[in-house]
Parts: sequence; structure tokens; C-alpha cells
Amino acid sequence: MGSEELLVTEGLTKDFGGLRAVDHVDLTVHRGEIHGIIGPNGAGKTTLFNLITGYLRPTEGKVTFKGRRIDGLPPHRIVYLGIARTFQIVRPFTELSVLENVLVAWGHRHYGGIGPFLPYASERRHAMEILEEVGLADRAHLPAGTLPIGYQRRLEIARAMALEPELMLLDEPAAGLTEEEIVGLKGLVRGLVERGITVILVEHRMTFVMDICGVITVLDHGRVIAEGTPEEVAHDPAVIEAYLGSADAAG
Amino acid sequence: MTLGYLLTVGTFTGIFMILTLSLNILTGYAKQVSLGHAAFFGIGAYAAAILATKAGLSFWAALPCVVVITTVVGVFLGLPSLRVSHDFLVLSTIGLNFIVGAVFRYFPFFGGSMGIVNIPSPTFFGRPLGTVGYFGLTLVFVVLAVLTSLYFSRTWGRLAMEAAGEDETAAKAMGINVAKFKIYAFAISSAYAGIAGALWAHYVGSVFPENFGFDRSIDILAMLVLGGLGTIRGAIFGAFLLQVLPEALRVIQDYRMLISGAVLAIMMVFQPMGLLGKGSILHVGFQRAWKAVRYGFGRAPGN
Ligand SMILES: Nc1ncnc2c1ncn2[C@@H]1O[C@H](COP(=O)(O)OP(=O)(O)O)[C@@H](O)[C@H]1O
Ligand SMILES: [Mg+2]
Repeated sequence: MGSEELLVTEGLTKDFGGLRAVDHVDLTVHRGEIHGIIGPNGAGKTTLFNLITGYLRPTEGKVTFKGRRIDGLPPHRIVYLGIARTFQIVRPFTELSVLENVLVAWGHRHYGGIGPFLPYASERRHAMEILEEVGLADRAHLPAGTLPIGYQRRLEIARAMALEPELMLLDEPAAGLTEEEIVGLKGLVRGLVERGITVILVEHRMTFVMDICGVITVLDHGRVIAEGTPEEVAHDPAVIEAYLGSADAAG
Repeated sequence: MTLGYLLTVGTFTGIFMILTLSLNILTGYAKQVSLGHAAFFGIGAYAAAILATKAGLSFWAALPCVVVITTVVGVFLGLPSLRVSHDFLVLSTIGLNFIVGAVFRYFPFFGGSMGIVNIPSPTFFGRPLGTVGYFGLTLVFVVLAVLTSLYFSRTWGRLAMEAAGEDETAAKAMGINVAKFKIYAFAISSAYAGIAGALWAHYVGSVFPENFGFDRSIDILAMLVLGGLGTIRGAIFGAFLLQVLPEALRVIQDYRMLISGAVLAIMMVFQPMGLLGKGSILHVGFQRAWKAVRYGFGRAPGN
């Protein structure tokens, strides 16, 4: 792929006490692609996301976004630079309405200076447009905590969209969804790319990722054990070994 | 009951409405549970008392200074919230009552346990405000507090505070600088408390450390929780109920502390959203009734 390198990690490492959760990961994500990251449970996928988005400081290594070092920056600064994320375990603001949840994210451009003291009413329309796109418009005024899990996953993505990022990190967005909902999710993720958003998609099940990702990186015990197109990865002996060796060989 | 008595009750009720609106920003929106709100109130009252008696400033000249002083001290006292979890914040705010009380009691500058007395009543165009005038003055500040609260509830700041208050991890992912918004909550909340304190000091004419103790903090929190955390109508209604009812039923006045404590405990167990809070029995009931009136009885509106 000849396109621009959007996100690069070099030698990225994270130790939790004696446990090395992420081990010298070199990852290059190009603009415009859907980049899958797969690996068995505990492989270090979520930790990798936390390192990229500023929730954890790397023990070693660096993260570069659009040519700029971002490791060590706090999470909200990284959002401003253009990286949004979702959480593996959904975290809606349960007491706010679905619409307000999206508004909170849309407000990121208003959280500096006197912005917090300006009314949000004029931006409702933008938030509604996003809710329409993810199919939540008719539930806009319900408390977010009352949504079923499938809709809460959509809300996670809607909020990330409202941040208008260049790069979106989705942590197991298909977890807990029915087959039918996964079909809808695929459309949603492809829609993100059409909007010009580059996507990094974490999954521990292979099938979903195989379908929509151009490139896949496979992690095991914190290390990159394979990288390539879905076909290349699926036939890689190291990958087969890692998946057969682990309890959840479901993919 | 004389008119003067009613106006006095009205003035105190107004002061507590400003305090519940103040606490609503901090605990209702930013979810920083404060069991020390009387300390912020006291700082405002003492600042007003000192500026009036020692610096000889008029109520009007002193008021902006009182607001600035309470806001600055409030931000300072809010700093621990950046380091401790919600549970520990509750404990540290209880401590605030005693720290601030001790400062008032043991430093001669604050008058010690003798307090500060002879605080003059404000004048309006050269004439001292009587009971009627002071009630009017308080009412003006209550209206201002309600209007500014209503405005703030429609701003990005309120959304960011609610988000940061509920889930810091998720709020950061929305580009919210959580520390900044917690400090904003302490600052705004303290500013209101400062005004309430100044109104109290100039109305009563004296301030004593025990006016601003832990039991007062419980009162304020009980009012807000009773009315409905996170809502302006709840703050107003709660202050009204807990301030006016004990006056009306004089017998229970001696049991104030017991009532506030019981109200807090009972509401937390049975209606944590308060009488008028979002989703409370009364609020849902009112909404149904309103819909019924609007759409006609028997015809169910969509959803
Ligand atoms: N905050 C933490 N403290 C200690 N160990 C952690 C922490 N977060 C993750 N780990 C450990 O790091 C390893 C990788 O976890 P994680 O990144 O969540 O894996 P994945 O998302 O691929 O399932 C696991 O062994 C996990 O127990
Ligand atoms: Mg994970």
C-alpha cells in the first residue's frame, strides 16, 4: 500500500509488574484502510489500544500519529489530534439521553476557552444526523442506560463519529451481537471508511475481521506473530498454532 | 404569624435555595458528593462579615470580592477531588466542615468563638433595607441563581460535567479534560455559595463558627436529594420543603438534624432521584398528566 502512514508504533512495550502485556510491537496503519488486530484473549489488544490512546504510558517504545509523537499525551489531547476509540465493555453515560451522549462527544471542540459556557442547542442537528446514520434516531431521547447491548455498541460508535476523528479504534465492536446485528455493524464500519476515517478493528474472532479488513496483524502474548492480507494470515502456521493452542479457537 | 415572620422565613428559604442550586452544580451535575457544603457557605459569610466590619466595604462593593474569595478558596478546597475517588471525596468533604470551622474558631482574625457581630444591613439608595427590602433583595438573587442555573444546564459545560462525573474514563475519550471540569464545578458552585453566605451574614448581622457546621452541610444535601439531584426544580422544591415545613410545624423544629438525616437516608434507599428528579414517581406522573392534557385523555401519544 503506497498511501500515507497515519499511525506508527515502534518497539511499543507495556509491562504490568512482571507481565509483559505488549512486547515490542511495530505497527504501521495506512490512511484509508481497515486494519484488523486479532489474537486470543489476553494477547494484549486492549492494552495496545490503551497505549495508543494515552490511557497507559508505554514502558518502552513510541507512538507516532501523522508524524507527531503522541505517547505521553493525556487521552483528551489525543482525541483533539484526531484519534477516537470505543471500549470493549461499553461505557455509555447512562443518565444522559442517547442524544446527549453524542452531544458530549460533539462538544469536544467547545471544551476549551469560553466554550463550556456556551449553549449546545444549535448543534443538536449534527448529533441527530449521526444518530440517524447509526440507526438510533428514534431512540434519541431515551436514557442511554436503558438501551439493549446491540444499540449501546452503536452508540459507542456514534460518539466516536461525533469526535470527527481521522483514526478510529474499535475494541471488539461485535462482542455480544447477534449474527444479524453483525451484518449491520459491517455496513457501519464500511461507512466510516467512506467518510474518510481510517479504522483499527480489534477482534478475537477471525470471521468478522476476515470479511472487512484489508490488513490484519496477529498478536499473541503481546507480540506480533503475523501480518498480511486475510488470506495470508489465515494460512500462516504461527497463527493457526496460536489459535489452536488457545481455548477459544472459535474463529 | 406576622408578615415580618413570613418574610424572615422567606429570606432564609431563599438563601437555602441558592445553596441547593450551588450544590446542584457540584453534586447534581459533576457528581462530586459534598458533605461539606456549609464550609463554602461559611467562607462566603465570613468573607462578607470581614469586608463589612474590618474593611468597611458596603454590601454592594463587597459582594464581587466575596464571590472572588469564595471561588478561589473553593477551587483550592476542590483540588483533593482530582486525586481521590468518589468515596474518599465524601470523607474529605466531611473533614472540610471541621477544618474550616476550626480556622474560624481558633484564629483571632475570624473572631474566634465570639464570631463577628454588628454586620450592617445593606443600604439601597442611601436607605437601609428593612425586612421587606431584604426579602426582595434575596428574591432577586434567587431569581438570578435560577436563571443562571437554567442557562448553565443548557451549555456544553453541564454536559461535560455530567459525563466526567459519571465515568471519567469514557469522558476522557470524548475529549474532556476531567480535572478541568471538576475544578469548574467547584468554582461555579463556590461562587453561588459565596452569595448565599453574604446574604446570610448581612441579614443575621453576625456570623459564628457553629452556623456553618457539619449539620448544616447535611441539611443542604438533604434538601437537594429530597427535591431531586441534578435538577433545578428539585433544588428549589427541596429547599422549600425542608425550610418551610419545619417552620410550619414548630414541634419538629428541634429535630432538624434528625429530619435531614432521615430524609437523606430514606430518599437514598427509596427514591434516589428525589421527589422531582428525572424518572421519579412524581416527575413521571406529571409528565403523563401533561401528555394527557396535551393530547387529550384516552388517546395515547406515539411512544
Ligand atoms: N491494568 C492492568 N494491570 C495488570 N495487568 C493487566 C492490565 N490490563 C491488562 N492486563 C493483562 O495484560 C494482558 C493483556 O490484556 P488485554 O490487553 O486486555 O488483552 P486482550 O484485549 O487482547 O484480550 C492480560 O494478561 C491481562 O491480564
Ligand atoms: Mg481486550
